[in-house]
Amino acid sequence: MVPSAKNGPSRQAIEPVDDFLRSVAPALDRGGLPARVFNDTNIHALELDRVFARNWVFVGHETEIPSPGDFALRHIGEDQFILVRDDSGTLRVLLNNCSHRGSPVCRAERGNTTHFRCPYHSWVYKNSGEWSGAPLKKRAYQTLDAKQWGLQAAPRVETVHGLIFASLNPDVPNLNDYLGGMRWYLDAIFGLNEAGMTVIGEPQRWKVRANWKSAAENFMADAYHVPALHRSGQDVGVFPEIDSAGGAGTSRHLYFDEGHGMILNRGFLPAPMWHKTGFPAEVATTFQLDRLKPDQRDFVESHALTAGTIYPNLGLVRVPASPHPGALPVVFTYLRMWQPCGPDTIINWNWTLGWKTASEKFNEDAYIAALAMHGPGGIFEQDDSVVWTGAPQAGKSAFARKRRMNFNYQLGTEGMSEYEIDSTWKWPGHATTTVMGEAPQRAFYRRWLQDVTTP
Amino acid sequence: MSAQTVGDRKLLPPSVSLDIKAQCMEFLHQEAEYLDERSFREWLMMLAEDVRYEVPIRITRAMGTREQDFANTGYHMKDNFKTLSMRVERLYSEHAYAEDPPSRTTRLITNVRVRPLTASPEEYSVKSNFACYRAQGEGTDFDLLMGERRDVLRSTGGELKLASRCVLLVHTTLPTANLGLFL
Ligand code: FES
Ligand SMILES: [Fe+2]
Repeated sequence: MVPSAKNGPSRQAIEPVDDFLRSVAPALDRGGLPARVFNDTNIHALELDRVFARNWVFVGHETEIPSPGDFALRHIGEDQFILVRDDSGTLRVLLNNCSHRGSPVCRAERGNTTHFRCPYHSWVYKNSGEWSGAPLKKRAYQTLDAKQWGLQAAPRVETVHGLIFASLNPDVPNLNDYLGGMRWYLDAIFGLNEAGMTVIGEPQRWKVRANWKSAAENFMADAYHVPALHRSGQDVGVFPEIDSAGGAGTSRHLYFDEGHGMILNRGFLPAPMWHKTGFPAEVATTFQLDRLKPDQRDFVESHALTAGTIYPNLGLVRVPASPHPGALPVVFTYLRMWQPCGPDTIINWNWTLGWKTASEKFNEDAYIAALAMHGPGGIFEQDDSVVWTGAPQAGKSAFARKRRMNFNYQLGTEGMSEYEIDSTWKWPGHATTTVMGEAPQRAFYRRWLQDVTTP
Repeated sequence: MSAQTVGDRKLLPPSVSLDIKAQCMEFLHQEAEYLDERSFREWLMMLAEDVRYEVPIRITRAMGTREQDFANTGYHMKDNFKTLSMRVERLYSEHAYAEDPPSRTTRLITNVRVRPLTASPEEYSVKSNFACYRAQGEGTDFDLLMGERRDVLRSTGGELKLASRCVLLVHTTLPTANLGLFL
């Protein structure tokens, strides 16, 4: 619009989202990210369509639904699905809305069933999602094509080491290709023996005022916040050298242009009490490391995962921590899913895993340590839940938009810090020499930007 | 249905004295006062050293009893005296950011039911319902946490201590950003 001379320049309306998104890549190149990406209903709608309905999204663990008929309600983006093992043992991910008028056909969050019966007009579906009947069928639906009226099913469901992913995109690459080099590391994290890991209890769920991307980038690579935000861990004596979790050079980033990334530690726990895998001997003896390729085994015996993100919204953590001061550290593993609920809210889902071959005591100790440190009551994680509220506030701020406020992602850019790509890294992905940088976060947002700008 | 049965579950006769019941209620009210006024160390002194403090996870199951909602051994919190002491000490540190500014809480403790524990005469089963209002910082937003608590209070040397607490929340997904508070 041409500004009218009489009234002075017209007040610039909020920049259209397409124009705005075009400004994000140059900002990222300068180590910036506009606040607006953390709270904008249009961008959020694009994310639901182009991120969550396009990629592989974690929906649960096979050990949660071991038997035919077992089901659990889960979410992809903001849509609710029934994750179910059908009578033939096949995993299905079915939209929990009746094909007739959309009523939720499954109201229990967990259970076992052969059929889902809709309460509204009593259409019935098999646990495979197939249409299986309706009242007065012979009179009401003489020529109904049953094949067309099953529950809407996610076109792709695949698993890796018991982790179940679904995709709403029939053309998504297979899960292995999607994970790329990350798959190599998942073998080294979850594939240490044939029995594998099992979910302990139900996942915790809690509502946090945050944009999902804040959680994803934090788990992936934000080592820098640990000694700052989580200093109370040192105050109470449970994490005596909190600074070492930051940039002491024993840690590095490992990331992929596809948007996945991790913080790795070299030799986190000392021998002889701890096996080279980072587990106590009683657990380590149950590992079958000869299942791994020799270079994966080298990796397993020298490095430990601290935290990571599989794009877009699955977090994984494996850290040793003491449940209280004076107690020996115990290694726990958990999976975290950030379910978006609008641009400024997430539901955290948290699954703690135990080794099937470990003693009940080890898994219980790990569970208790995990709850004391992470999860809704964890003394570390409580603090994350309050600091992430700020990004959506700035994201919808009129002033921040006028000023084109960028958050700072310059850590580790040229000349800022000791932080380089480690050219000697012989395993998959880009590895950095320290964690004093934000290369994985920048890669994550480049991947994200590519998704939201691609129809 | 007789006055003494609910479904097929027999209620124990209400055989503690009114005096014992009054002592138990006084204990719960004192505890709530300490927590609301942020006297966490004083609160900690009300716990037995072998205390068990658990907040099991609730999920929605098909029609059935409330107990079934809590059936699968998952917890939001599963604490003992040492982990609770650590949480309390943290709240006095400078870096407990989840409670900075501190939550403004009001706890309402009602529907108190005290029964003898036949297995151990020094202990009482004390059930209560609670509502915990939690607000923080400026603004008018608040979280409301509600549920039932199943406690065991133990009388030692004329003094009551909390020997165990199981918090049965009404919530499946927690409506609050963290459990940086005690219920
Ligand atoms: S809406 Fe489900 S049967 Fe009509
Ligand atoms: Fe954190």
